[in-house]
Amino acid sequence: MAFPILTVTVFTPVVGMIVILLLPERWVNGIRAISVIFTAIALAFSIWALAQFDPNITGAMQFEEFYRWIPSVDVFYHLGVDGLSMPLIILTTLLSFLAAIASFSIKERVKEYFALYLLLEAGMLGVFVALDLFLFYVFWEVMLVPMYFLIGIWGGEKREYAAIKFFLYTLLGSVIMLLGILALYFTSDPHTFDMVELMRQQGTFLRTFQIVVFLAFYVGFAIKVPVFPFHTWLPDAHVEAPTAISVLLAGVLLKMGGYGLLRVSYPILAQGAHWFAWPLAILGVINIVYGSLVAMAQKDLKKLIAYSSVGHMGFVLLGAAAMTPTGLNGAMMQMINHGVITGALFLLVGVLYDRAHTREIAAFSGLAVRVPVYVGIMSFTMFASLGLPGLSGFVSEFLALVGSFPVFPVLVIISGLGIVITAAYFLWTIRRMFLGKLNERWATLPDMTFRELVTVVPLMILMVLIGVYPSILIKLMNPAMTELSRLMTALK
Amino acid sequence: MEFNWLSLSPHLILAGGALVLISVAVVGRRFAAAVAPYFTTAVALAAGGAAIWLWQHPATAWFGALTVDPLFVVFAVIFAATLALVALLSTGYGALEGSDRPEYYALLMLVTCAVAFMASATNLVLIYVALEFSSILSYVLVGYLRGDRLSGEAGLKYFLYGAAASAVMLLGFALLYGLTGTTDVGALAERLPRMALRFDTWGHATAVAPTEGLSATLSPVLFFLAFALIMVGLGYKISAVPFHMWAPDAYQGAPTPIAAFLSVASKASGFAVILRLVLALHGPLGLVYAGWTKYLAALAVASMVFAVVVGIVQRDVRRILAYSSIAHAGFALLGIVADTHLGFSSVLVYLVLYAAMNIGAFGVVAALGHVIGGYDLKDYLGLGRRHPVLAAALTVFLLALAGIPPLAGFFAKFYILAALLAQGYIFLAVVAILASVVALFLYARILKPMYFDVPPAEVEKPRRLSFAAAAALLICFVFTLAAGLWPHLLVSWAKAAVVPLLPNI
Repeated sequence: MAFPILTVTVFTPVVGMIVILLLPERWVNGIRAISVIFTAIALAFSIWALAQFDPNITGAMQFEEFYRWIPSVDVFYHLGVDGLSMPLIILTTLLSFLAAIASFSIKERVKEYFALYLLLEAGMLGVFVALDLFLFYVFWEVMLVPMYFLIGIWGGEKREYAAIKFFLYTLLGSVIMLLGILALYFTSDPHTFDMVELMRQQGTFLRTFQIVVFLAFYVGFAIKVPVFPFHTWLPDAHVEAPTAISVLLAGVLLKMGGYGLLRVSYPILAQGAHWFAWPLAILGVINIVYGSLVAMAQKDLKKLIAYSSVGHMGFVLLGAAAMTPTGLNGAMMQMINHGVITGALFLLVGVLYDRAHTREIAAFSGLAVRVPVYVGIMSFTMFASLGLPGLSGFVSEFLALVGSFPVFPVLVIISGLGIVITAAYFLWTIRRMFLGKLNERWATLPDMTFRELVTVVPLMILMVLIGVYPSILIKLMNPAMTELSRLMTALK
Repeated sequence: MEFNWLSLSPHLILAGGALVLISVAVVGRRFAAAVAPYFTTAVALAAGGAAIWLWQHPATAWFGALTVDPLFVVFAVIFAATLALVALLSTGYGALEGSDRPEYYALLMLVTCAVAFMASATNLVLIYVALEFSSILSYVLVGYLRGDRLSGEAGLKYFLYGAAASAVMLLGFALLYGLTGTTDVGALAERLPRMALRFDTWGHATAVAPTEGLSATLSPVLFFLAFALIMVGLGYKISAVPFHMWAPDAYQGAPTPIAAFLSVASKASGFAVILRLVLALHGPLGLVYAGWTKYLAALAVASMVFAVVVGIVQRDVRRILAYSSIAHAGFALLGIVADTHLGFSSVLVYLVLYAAMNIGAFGVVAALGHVIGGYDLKDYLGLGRRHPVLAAALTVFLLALAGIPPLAGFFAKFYILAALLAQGYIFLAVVAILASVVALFLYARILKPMYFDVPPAEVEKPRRLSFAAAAALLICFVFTLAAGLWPHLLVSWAKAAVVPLLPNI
């Protein structure tokens, strides 16, 4: 039997959680170090998997693991990855590792924090490797509980409200998805929860059935993405969550919606997806334009970035709705890039907030004089986020737009508006906060520490790397995306 | 069939245990008081073991009045486990310390014996007698804290509701007897279908083979009425809306371990009788059938929706758990509504998993009542800091009750939903999941003060929790985790218990 690399990757954080629970509470630095070590081990395992991963194998999963779990209801422990999930796994382990370092700024109840944090990482990883819908659902839900506590205990002022809103919102989405899962199970013949088997059977599902089940799944995924009008939990959760948790929320959790769409809804419910392509594209454009406009009106820096996420995720929807190879590649790549860039932005907001204890944009001016390193990095990341050519954000937005232009020309043109607005609010923010005369209140503001640089610099390297040489990422997922696009065209 | 006394061994062990304990208490009161909880646990284990042995040795006795079959075994195991856990938890419940301990445990064994009779009774008269037997003992246990006004009030309220509900149920039994001429549950199935063959378009049927004392015409309306009246008594037992009103007061006033017993074993016994009746009446009785599934569905929806809405405004943790248990009764009823092998076995699975997590939740609340001396949400402020282990255990049980995977409650709900969707009851499934989402808010109201709020500046010195109570909580905890992760065996047993009873669907 081959080495169960995926199981090991997913459950490494769980082992870490158990170790931490056994440690005495007062041993704060030990708990921090062990957490970082376990996230690093998970990262190492995922990189090792990446090294052995062959992106050119399409139509088959790699590192598959298949065991009987609950035979009486046909549930299997089925794991596997392909070009769709592999990049997201790396993104998850990388951001979890960096955010664990950023979590050193947590001073209270450190033991509980890191135990929950590691459980959260395991849940996120599980979602990306599960190939059985039951298992997928279990991981999907497992994640909610630590998130609820992480926001609710270590969050900002309105943390209780934000935590319960997040929990109820996402739970509502996922239980509706559960009905969809059960509907698929009872319609398939033989009954199965297995995604691969369901893809094989998808031709036997009636069109109406596909549309209904697609919508059930869509609610679950759309709340996670989040797609307008299901986005209202996001600004609350992002703003109230502690820095590291915002990073994971934006960097990984939002990707689960897009991932679910491409992993479950598209190949299994292709006709439903085709039926929903137009609405999806329109919603994507609404996300882009509306998200950017709302971001522009924000006074709180963190909220501004939260709303910029809404806009950026719109490109994922637009590219996915087009179903062309370029569009799908763009969508996938946008997910990774958004994870890297917005992850970095949230880290940087945290850096500022830790020092100034405010995130009010108007409270700052002329910071470039006082904290040049911070301002340089922050501006760099904002440029990446607004899609400056040469940095990663540009490539994926460009691909998503190019890929969807042949299908939705008008919508692509409208979404151009969103890009302009995005550029406007980021540049405006840079001008308001970093340029001009230094506000005397911040005359003693210290610049970034080494630890903070360690968390951000790897992400900056990725932004440049992907921006200059995108094939490094495209090579990884293009075969899978081309195959998915071919499949979708064939199933029209 | 020759009657074998061994078939009654679970009932006899429980009753015998109670008598032995009372007798010993006459001779050496202090000794009896000291060993009572452990003796009760041992008796429960013996009764449970005997029940498991009976899985392979099904029998009927007393002219068909008593049936010992795998279905009974599943319930008997739930009862025995509940008895053992409640006995252990009672050692950690401070309010009981001054009371007459040997009698408390003897009554606990007797009430378990009574619910065991309910689960094995297949004669309407015996069902009624067993139900009354268990109710009367329950009234005493609910009002057991003599010095506590709340406990006395709860006992009285419980008694008044119970007396009225069981009287109405008796009326239903009488009606059923008048319609069929038999009190034998097994014979109901034989008589009703034959009569039902002559249903005309207006719903009036003529009996094919009228026997003595049997009316020649059977109206489905009358049959439905009989069923509805019977469900008043059973709905009271399982605390389904609108027969639930006693539950929050009784759970709040009763010694908390007794509340755990009522919310699990007593509720399960009601389900046992419902299952017996529904399974026995199963047959080509299409016309009457449609009526009862709708009726049960209405009760289920009312229970889930009403309980979560009203539960939200409660401030006493025991009352919140009472409303949660009402919602769970509604959810479990849906499995019966599905009316298939899958549906009936899902009810059994649900009840077993629910037993573990609900005893766990009540158990922690009882333990906390002893340790911190309060049940109000404000007593729980900062509990995650003050008592991290108990708080974490309660969190797991509450999340399990909310149905968060991979804990037990998720699989329980999942399985019921599967049974519903397999029959195309999409509307019911949607209501059930929406109610579950709101129910999460119910549980989050307990989690919030525990973790999100800071502990009050001055707290009384906590008292120690007994080892036995901690062990009981640990058992519930392990089961809640393990059964949720690996429910396969449980599902196969539930199927094996149900399938032989329904050969024709």
